[in-house]
Amino acid sequence: MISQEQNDTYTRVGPGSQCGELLRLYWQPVALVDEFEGPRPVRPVRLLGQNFVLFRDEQGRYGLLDRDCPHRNADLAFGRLENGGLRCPFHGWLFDVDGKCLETPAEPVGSKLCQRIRQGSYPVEVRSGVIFAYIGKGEPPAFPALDCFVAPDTHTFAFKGLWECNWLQSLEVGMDPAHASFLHRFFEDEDPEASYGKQFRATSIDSDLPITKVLREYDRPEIAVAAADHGLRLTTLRPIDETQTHVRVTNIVFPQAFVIPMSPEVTITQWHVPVDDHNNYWFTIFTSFTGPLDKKTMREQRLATYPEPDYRPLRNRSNAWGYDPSEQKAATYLGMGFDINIHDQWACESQGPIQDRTREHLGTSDKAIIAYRRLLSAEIAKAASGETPLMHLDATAAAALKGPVSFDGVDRSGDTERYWREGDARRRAAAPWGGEVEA
Amino acid sequence: MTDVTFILHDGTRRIVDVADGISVMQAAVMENIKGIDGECGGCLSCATCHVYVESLEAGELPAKDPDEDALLEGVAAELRPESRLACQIVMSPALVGLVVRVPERQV
Ligand code: FES
Ligand code: FES
Ligand SMILES: [Fe+2]
Repeated sequence: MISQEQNDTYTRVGPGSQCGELLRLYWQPVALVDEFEGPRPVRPVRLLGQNFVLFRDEQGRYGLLDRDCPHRNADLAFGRLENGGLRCPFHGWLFDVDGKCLETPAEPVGSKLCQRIRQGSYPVEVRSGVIFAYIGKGEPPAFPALDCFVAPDTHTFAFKGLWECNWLQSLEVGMDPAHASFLHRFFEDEDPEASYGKQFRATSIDSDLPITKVLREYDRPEIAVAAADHGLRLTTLRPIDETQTHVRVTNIVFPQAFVIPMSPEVTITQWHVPVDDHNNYWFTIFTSFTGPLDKKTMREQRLATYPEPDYRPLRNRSNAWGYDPSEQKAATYLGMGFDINIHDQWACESQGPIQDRTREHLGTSDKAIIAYRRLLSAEIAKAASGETPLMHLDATAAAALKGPVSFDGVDRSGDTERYWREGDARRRAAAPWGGEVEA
Repeated sequence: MTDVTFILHDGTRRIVDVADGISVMQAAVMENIKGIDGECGGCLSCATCHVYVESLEAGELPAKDPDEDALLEGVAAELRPESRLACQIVMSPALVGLVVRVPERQV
C-alpha cells in the first residue's frame, strides 16, 4: 500500500512530471518497422503524453517530429510525403527529418521565415525491428548489448500491442512470478509440439514437463530478488519432488522492460511504454538462441488478435475481454481463452486506468514489485537532482551490459544457481550469435 | 526567473517574472501585455514585437542581428535608437532591471 502522492509520482508521466522526466532519459520504443512497410510510411505516435509524427523519407531516413505544424498547428500526421520531407496539407510548409523547414510556399518570394522555423525533432534508432526514439534532454544513452539487440535480424521478431491502463501496473505483471500458477492455468496441457510461437506451451529445459503443468501443480513458488547491473534478477523455485526443482530466472531491465523465457529456445524482452497516463504499448522482441524465427507465422498469429493500424486488441473492456463463465468452469482459470497475453491484459486493465495502490495489500509473493518500486523511487530522485540514473549508459558500460540470462529448467543437482548459469552458458555456446555473459 | 518591467501605452507599469530562456516577446504575449503582438512567434518576420528599451541596470542586451535591423526599418511606430524587437531579447539572470516601453502601435 502506498500514498496517493507516491502513486501519482510513479504513474504520472507527462512533460514535467517526476517519473516522466526519468523515463525521458531512455530510448523508448515508438513503432515497429513492419508498420512502415505499406505505401505510406507515416504514423502518428503518442509517447509520454506528447504527440509526434514518425515518417520515413524518400532516402529511407526516419524522422520523429512534433505532430502539430509550427505554422498554424494542423496535424502533420496527414501530411504529404514528398520533396525530401513531410509537407503540411494546410499551406504546404515542408519539413525534413531533422525538423528543418524547407519550404513555405505561400510566403512572398525572398521571405526568410522558413530559415527561422524549426519543428521539434528527436533522434531515432532502429534495433531488431523496433524504432526507438529519444525525447529527453541532453545526449541519449548508448544501447546496451542486450541479447535482443545483439542477435541477428533473422533471430529476432518484434510486435506490439495496446493495453488501456497505466504503464506501471502492466510492467508489474512482469515481475510477479506467482500469478502464472493461477491466471494462466489450463486444466489440460496442450501438445507442446503444436504450439509454435506461444508462451508457456513448451516443456522446461531438462524435463518432459510442460510449463503449464509445472505452473498448475506447484503454485507456492519461492521467489528471490537480487539487484543486478541491469535492474533486478528474479529467481523463482518450484520444488517438484525430493530430487527435482523447477527453476525460472527472469529480469527487470530498468526502467521499463522485463526479460523472460518463452521456451528453451526463445526469450521475450518486453517494454511497457507509456502512451499517456492511462494507456501503454507493450513492445516485445522475441530472440531465438537456435534457428531463425518464422516471423511471418508469428506476425500473423498476433495480428489476428491485435489488428493494424493501432494494435488495439479485439478483446478489451468493451466486450469484457470475451469472458466465458463456462470456459472458466471447465477449461481455464480465467475464462478468457488460451492466449496468455490476454490474461495479462485483463489483469492489468481490470485494475482500472491507474491502479489505486492506496487500496492494495501486497504479500510475500509480491516482493519483486516492492523491490522495483524502491528502485524506481531512488532513480526518480537521481534524475530530479541531475545525477545519472541506472541504465543511462555510456558507450563502454553499454557494450559490457549483456544478456541478461533468462532460464526455465528443471534442476536435479541441488545447486540451482550453478544449474541455470551453466545451462545458459551451454545454450549461448551453441547459439550462432550467443557470445558470453558475465556470471 | 528575472523581473521585466513593461510600461504600457497609458503609462501603467507591469512587472513580469520571466523564466530563463524565454524572450521578452513570449513573456509579454503569455502575460497579455497589450501592445506587443509577436505574430510570427519570434521568427523575425513580422516586426510586431517592437519595444523601446528604457533602462537596464546590469548585463548587456544581445547584439542586433542584421535581419533585426532590417525589420526595424519597417516598424509602424517611430523608430528610435532604443528600439528593439522583443523576440530577440532572451531573458537570463544576467539581465537585471530591464524596463521596456510599449510603443503606440505595432501595425
Ligand atoms: S498549418 Fe501547416 S502549413 Fe499552415
Ligand atoms: S515576433 Fe515577429 S519579429 Fe519578433
Ligand atoms: Fe502473465
